[in-house]
Amino acid sequence: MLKIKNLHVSIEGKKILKGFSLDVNAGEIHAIMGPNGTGKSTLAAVLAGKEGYEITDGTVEFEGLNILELEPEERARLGVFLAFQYPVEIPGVSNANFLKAAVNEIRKSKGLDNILPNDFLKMIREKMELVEMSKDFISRSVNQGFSGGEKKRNEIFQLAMLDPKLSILDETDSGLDIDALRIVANGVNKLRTSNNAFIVITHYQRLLEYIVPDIVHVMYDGKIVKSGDKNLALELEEKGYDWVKELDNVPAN
Amino acid sequence: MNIDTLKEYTPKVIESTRQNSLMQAIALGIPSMKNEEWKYTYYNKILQQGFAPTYTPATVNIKKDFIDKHSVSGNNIVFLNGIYQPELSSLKPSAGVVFTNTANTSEQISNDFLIELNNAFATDGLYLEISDNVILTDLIEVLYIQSNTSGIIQHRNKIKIGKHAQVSLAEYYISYDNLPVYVNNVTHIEIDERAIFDSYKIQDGGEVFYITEQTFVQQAKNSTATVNTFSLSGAITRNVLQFDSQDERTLSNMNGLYLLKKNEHVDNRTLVNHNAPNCESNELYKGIIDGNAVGVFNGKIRVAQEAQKTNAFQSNRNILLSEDAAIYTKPQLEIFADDVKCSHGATIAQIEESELFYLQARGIGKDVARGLLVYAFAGELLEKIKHEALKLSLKKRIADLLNIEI
Amino acid sequence: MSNQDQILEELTSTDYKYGFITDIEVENAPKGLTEDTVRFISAKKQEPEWMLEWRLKAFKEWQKMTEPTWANVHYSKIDFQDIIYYSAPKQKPTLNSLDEVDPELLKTFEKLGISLDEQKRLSGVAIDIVFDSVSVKTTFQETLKEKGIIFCSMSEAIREHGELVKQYIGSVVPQKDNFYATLNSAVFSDGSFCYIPKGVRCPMELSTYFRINSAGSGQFERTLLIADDDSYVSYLEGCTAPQRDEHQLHAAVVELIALNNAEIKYSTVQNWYPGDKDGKGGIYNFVTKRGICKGTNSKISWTQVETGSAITWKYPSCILAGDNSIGEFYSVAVTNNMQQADTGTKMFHIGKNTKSRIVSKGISAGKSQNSYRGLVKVHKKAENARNFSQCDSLLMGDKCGAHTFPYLEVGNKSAKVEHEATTSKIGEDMLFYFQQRGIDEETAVAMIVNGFCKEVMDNLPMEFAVEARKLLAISLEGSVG
Repeated sequence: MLKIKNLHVSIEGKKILKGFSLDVNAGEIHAIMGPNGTGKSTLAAVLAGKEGYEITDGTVEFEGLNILELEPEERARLGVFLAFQYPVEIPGVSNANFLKAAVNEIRKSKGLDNILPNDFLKMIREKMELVEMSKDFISRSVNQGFSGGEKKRNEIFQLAMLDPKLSILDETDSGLDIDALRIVANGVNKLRTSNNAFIVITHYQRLLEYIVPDIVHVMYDGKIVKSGDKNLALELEEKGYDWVKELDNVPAN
Repeated sequence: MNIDTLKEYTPKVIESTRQNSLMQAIALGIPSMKNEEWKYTYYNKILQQGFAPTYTPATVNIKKDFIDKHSVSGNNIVFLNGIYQPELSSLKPSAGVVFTNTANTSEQISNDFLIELNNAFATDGLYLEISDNVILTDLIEVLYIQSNTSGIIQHRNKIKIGKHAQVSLAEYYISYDNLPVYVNNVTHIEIDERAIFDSYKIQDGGEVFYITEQTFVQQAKNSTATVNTFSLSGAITRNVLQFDSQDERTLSNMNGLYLLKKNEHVDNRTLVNHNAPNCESNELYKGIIDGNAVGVFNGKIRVAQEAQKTNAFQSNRNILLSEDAAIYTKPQLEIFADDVKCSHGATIAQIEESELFYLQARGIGKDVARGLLVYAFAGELLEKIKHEALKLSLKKRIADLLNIEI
Repeated sequence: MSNQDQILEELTSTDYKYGFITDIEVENAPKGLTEDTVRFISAKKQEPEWMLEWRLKAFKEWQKMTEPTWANVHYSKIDFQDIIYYSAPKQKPTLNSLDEVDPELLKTFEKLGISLDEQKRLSGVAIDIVFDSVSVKTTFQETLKEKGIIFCSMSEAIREHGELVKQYIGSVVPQKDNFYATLNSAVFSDGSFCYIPKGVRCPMELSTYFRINSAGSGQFERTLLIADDDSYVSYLEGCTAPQRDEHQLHAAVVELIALNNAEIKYSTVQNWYPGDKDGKGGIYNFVTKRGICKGTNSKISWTQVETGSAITWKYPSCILAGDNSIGEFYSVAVTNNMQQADTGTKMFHIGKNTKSRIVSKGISAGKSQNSYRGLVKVHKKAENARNFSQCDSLLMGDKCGAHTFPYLEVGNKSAKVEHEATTSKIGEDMLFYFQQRGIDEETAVAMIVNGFCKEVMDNLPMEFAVEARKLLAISLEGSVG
């Protein structure tokens, strides 16, 4: 589904990603772990198409299509979803209007008509249960006045509504208490199918107890330095990130 | 004095520039309330007290202990009736610190009556230059002492702070004998790259003290400047404070506290000119207005088109304590750049009845309770003082004014 | 940000939809302003002697006055002798049925999306239409009459309800209030008059539609609205003008009077021709709007969406004289290209327990300048006054300006006054968030702008809100989602 080859990315001349490669297939959950400042969030932003990043080398193919030249909304319409680490507050724009616009834009790109109001409401009700959202939430402005946990739950709710092929969860666990973490993870597990894939970016092993990854990658200094199964996360938790620095010179896989 | 009699006074030094300033002052005329800048302050009321730009040397013999009472650092420069007093001053000599007394008048002609009045008649002033990399830990104090004079006391100050230098300055407006006096000061401050400057103005000259003062701060790249103004007593006080950020990444802070009673009148006017990108300014002025007193606040933030990524914040908060107190506040934003974050806010309110009741319910008398709550309101500005001795002395003075003990 | 620039470029070149000119025969007063002009207008309207005297008094005052210059707007001096002060479609002065209206006029209003026919009954809006200087048609007079409501043109009111007009005209905006109001007092040609009797809730929205058509003419209409004890009315006002290269002057006066327990809701969607991209042409909109909450528990609420005019100079105000009275001001002002707006409100707190609320949203794009100017004045005797003001500015592009000039004057210690203001642009983070959910930048901008204005839009009557959202979209870019 996703093929990243030798990706090099700089911000204002500073090299952040230095030859990052990754293959993700449908039905897989990949976890990317690593210390702060190692380029995890840069990777997420570059995949989603945020401005301000200079791609100096490498390719990113999504379902055989080079997506690096595409606008963020085009990537989103193809099925790339980013759950933001810091979801943005949008005053005055209700969650309902926001989601209706998003759902319809994505449908339009597939040649479908706008969703019928009743179907939309039904869909909202259904997906809200998934992340245990209260009803009043739908008329509130997007993320405005939401607690940290509510914002993250809203990201997963949007994920459920838009039904993407590839979801990138950028530190979705940061700032969550254990109950919210459970709700978020539960949502993701229910949304998992053999046709979609997830990249879970996290600093801690904690989230991976709830969302069990197929493959765990350890990232350091702009690239993957070690990959393995879920036990790698435990090993990392035990040995700490200093251990990663020693791995820096060992080639991945 | 009025505008027709103004030409009868001759500047102290007959220089053509001073003469030009006098002519300009006459041409501009005495500020009237029709002028937007003077909308709420009746300047003529000051002149009607009989002040005129004549020079009267002081006749008093001021003792050193009077100075000590008003100085917290013992590192001071004393002016009496507008003239520098070397015998009373005790500025500690320090490498890289140049102090001379001189009226730093300017050849440039402005459109401001008070600047030109000062330019024409200033008798003396502070010239302070701090060399690059000099970091002074001792607070430098300037005491403007006035005694029995109907002459308008006018200082003209110039302060230059070198690159990476750090210095703090406190200015005190003091009356020796509680007779009516009027001080009209003009101060120019230039702050070079990465320098840090802290200034405190303590205006506490009593009920018949009149002040008009203007301070202009120019900031170079990465410099930080903070001006704290405490207006604690005075008949009419008008403070003009202007910051110009000339280059990137300057930080400008303006803090003010005005504590007014009886017929006191304070007019604070601040202007921040953001002329370069990535600069920040923070402004907090708080007023507590009792009796028949009037508070005026006019804050303006101006962001030029080049000044992208400016962050500017301004807040003016007031408490009215009496039926006859009044506040006029006008927080303005003028923004010509689009990538900015600017906000301003102004509030006028009273002491919360519920808070008052809570204190009373714990056995505290109503007046003391009120004093404590007002003191708490003022506290935010007192806490911004970086000099412990000065902070303590002002805390005590404000507690005195509020009749509470701290 | 090249994409955003592109959107801005597109929106700045969006055409003004209402710029057509109606080819209709008109009767004009001679150009220029003298006492004779005033007499001419008064005679044309068959006014009683007192009205003429009133106008002449204003004219004498006006001759002594000079144009105000304090507003944050810049324009070349207006030649008041180069304006036609009276222009009217040539036809019978009174119409008995729609069939008598000039078909060209009907077409004009159809183009504007206003139908004068019976269909309008379904939407329950009674309309008075002012074309150039005169009211051409007021609908639904009969239905309203049953309730005792008077809704007619000002000319008719002066003739038929002289006593009411005489009692209230100039009581809120005196003849010599300001330069433009005084000019209006001398030369006003028509406008709407409305009286809601005691205890009546007006069953439909009342609406006036203003249209300037003739070249070289100014429009000086005058609106007077009285809500008697325990009554309620919601009033809508819309305005358009043809696209012309010259500037045209619009100097209107609106007076509102709310008696005990009465409530007036006054909504405006102002879409006068704003001039072209380079600032050529466009309406100078110098308007005095003021309401008085005369009775206890009365309420006046102004809502305005200002997208048009080359220059807007307008401060809908409330005098809160009655105890417990409430004043509200909700405003969206959009400026684009070379437009300039200096607008806001004044809230005078005089009675006890009065409340006011100000919500102002300014959006500047292109090379425009957008200023909020407001006054909250709490008089010495106004116990327990409450005010809250929120003024937010949104900047689009780096060539425009947003300015805030709030005056707060408080003379009573029991007052609580709060003012908050912010200025910002649409953040890149915010746009990216929309895009990541599949929504393109243009739609995102439209949604963000509408969200920014939500609090004001929510105060408009439903039909108007739809129109206002469309206008906002037209003024700023393509479509709004």
